[in-house]
Amino acid sequence: MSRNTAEAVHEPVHQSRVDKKSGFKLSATDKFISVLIYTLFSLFALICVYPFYSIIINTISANDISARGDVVFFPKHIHFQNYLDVFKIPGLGHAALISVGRTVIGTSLTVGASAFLGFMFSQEDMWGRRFWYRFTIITMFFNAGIIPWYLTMRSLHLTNNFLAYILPVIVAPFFIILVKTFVESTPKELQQAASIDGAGVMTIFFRVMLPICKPILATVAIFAAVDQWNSFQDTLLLVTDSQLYSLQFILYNYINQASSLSTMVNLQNAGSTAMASLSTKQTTTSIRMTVTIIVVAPILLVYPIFQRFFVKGIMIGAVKG
Amino acid sequence: MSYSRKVAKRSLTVSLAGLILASAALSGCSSNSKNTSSSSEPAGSGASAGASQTAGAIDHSKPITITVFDNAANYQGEQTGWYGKLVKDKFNITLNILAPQVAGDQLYKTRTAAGDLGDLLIIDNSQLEELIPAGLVMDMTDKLKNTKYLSQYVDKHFKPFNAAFDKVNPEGKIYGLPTFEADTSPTTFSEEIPYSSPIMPWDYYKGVGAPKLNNLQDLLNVLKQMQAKYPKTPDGKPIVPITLWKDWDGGTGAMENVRWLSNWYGYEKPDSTTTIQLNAKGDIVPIIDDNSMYKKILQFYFDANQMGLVDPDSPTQDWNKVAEKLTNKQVLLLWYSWQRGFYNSIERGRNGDGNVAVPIADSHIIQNSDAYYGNGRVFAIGAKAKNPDRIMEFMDWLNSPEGLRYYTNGFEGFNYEKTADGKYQLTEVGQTAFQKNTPVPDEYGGGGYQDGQSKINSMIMSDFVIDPDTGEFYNSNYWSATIEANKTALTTDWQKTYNAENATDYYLKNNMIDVVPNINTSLGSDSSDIKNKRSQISDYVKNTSWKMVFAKNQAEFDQLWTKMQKDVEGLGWKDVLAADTAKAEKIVKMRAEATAGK
Repeated sequence: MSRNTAEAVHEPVHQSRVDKKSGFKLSATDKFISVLIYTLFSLFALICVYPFYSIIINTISANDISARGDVVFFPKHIHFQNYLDVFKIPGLGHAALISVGRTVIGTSLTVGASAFLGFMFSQEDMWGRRFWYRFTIITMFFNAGIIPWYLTMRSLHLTNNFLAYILPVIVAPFFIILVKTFVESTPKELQQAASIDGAGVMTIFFRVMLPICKPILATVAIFAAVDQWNSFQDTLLLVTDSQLYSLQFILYNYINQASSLSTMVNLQNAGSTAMASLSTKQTTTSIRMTVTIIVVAPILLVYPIFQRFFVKGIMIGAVKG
Repeated sequence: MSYSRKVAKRSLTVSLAGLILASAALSGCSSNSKNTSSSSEPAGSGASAGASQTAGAIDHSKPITITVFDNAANYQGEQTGWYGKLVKDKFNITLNILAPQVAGDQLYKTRTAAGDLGDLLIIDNSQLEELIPAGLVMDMTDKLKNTKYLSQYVDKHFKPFNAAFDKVNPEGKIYGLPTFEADTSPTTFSEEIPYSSPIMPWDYYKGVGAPKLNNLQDLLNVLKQMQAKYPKTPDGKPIVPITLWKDWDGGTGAMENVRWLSNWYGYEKPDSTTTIQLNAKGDIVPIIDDNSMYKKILQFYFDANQMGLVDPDSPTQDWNKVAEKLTNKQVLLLWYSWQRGFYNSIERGRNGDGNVAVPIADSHIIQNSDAYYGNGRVFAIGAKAKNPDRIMEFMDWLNSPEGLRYYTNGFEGFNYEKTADGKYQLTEVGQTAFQKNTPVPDEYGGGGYQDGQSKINSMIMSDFVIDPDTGEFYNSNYWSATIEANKTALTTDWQKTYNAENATDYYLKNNMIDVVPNINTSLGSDSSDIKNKRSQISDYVKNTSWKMVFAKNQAEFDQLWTKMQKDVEGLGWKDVLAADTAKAEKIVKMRAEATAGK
């Protein structure tokens, strides 16, 4: 019933918009403004897309041409040797597994903890709320520095340990603030109504607030996942066991080694006839760009998955005033 | 609501499945290397028995992993490939390499703060100077006595090096074994061409009649003639006689392009100093002195620019651009020995085409000797290393003929082979194994040759050590077979013209070169006051030098020079000069000792 009325209200609005379009002729200024807007936004879109496009065409063009910077709009002498070379890196599969593992496990734990803590910090009857909240938030502003951090992690046996990727990031003050603010912006009546119906704190959290918080949790999930995927410093300093190296680290290692090797090969050519085909011989440029694509591509795929949760207005009409 | 949840669930499952599939596909790539490493295990235990015969009492039955903190490495992770298998089979050791070049400087700071840098350390001299008083490196003096190969080098190489750290090591114990030491002599230079000397394209030089060069003015004239006759490369790129670049001026305190031409006339600028130049006799000359070689070379570049010989791109281009020009043979005057390699090849050499040394009669080159005392880093053992004896045994093997051959040349029969006269020559595979990353036979561990090379990227004694079996250096570039194979019309023509074996030989015969002992020590670090003054002065000197090269006329050149002399005084020149002089005096003193002691 209510749905029908909503449609009925919508219909005339829609109709009138159509009328406007067909009924009024666009003036020259309007046209000009539309053209301007379209041009501006196309330009803007181009600026956003071009860097990715440029990197992609550089990775599949002949390496000697791309190193000279001559690949601008279209790929030249297409080949896929760069990608084949990268996929041949020993340990890449294992490292990818580690990266996916830390991203999936780390993100779900971070999201869960942020949701629960964010919710709890909004409960006025939580024991010692002010203290715990400040205790958490203070870590955002004060940082002991890298050496004390390393020593702490070492004494907690979080070196050469997969947990070093997960545990330190579970409680993330910034995400907690996000969730807390979101919870506080929802109508109190929802929680009150639930508690009148006999729900305890946990029931309210799981049955009422968690579903409502989906949009903000999706945001937190994206942030956390991107952070986890890109994280790199922790591998550098905490991990010396190559079984625990992450994808980012392996690829960074590869860039480093490959570019110094390609320089060495160049210098060694002094007394040697051996010249691999220039167009597929790796150059610093080709290596960097290929690795960039490989690193960025998977995380780009995460956005569409979470985008569906960015729906506003889920709660509109939840409380009748 | 429930519908959208279902969709979400489904897409999540699909994407998870995708991820798992992708990772399965990815891990498929690595399964090969895993198989080979697991199959190497049984072979490992068998061969390690063989190794223990040579090493005596050390027990190899327990597999160990050595953490190698390695400043020279550009790879972090376990040593794999053929070298990894070799070390595993011989010593039952896995090398786990930590590379600050990959992981950043914090790695050194955090790990030293925690008191354990690693088991085997390859660190800079200045770091050794910090780690000795901190008690983080092991005293190797006694352990060295039991070694078969390293012990031979203690008196001549390791002792003098460690004794120079007298402030932190008053008793003269041995903590570090310097890297890449040549076993020739402190005054021998074994390479075929000095590090910096005049180099030009042979065909162009001959094209203008190969006139004898008596001095820098003759050089300018000949460059002018070459430019007039060859204005463009065959494919139409402009030829620039002299090209300069700015981006290497960074930490050197003065114009790097001026620095290395000063070497032609006997003045070098020691590393970590910025205000002085030093000659073979031990004279220390401030670069802003009116008679300094620095000024003379600035004048040379200025004159060249006045004649239109300097590349107009010079102030704006970086080294990569220069490298490209070198590859295209667009540059007529080169100086670094390795710059030849960008264009030269055997193929071109056969046609008499390539860059070669063209001596200038009045030059007198200063050249550092082979790195008799090493080249800036050391091998050391961490104070907390668990198996120091096995590490020592491994280091000793690195210096055995077998270890040196594997490190520099790979496998006999694969990379090189014995000739009829008992010397070595590279096989066809060996000539290109590094560049082409040739697959190594499975019996040696498989994988690419280059991929499997030692990732330690450092040796204690270098390949400028004589192999007792052949009487030649380990470095394959100096094998008579290689030299013979690399002979081309270009080299023989050059040899006939100059009546010498190679450039170094020519300079030595004509008394045009001073080979000074290569000093390897830590010269101490600047106080923060000196550091600040140094950086201000350096910026000023660099800027003014570039302006002088591109000055409009001689008057402007002179005026910039006098202004610089005056202005740097105000920036604290005297203090920095005093600090640099102290460093230079240490070098002079150590050189004198080295020459006396040989």
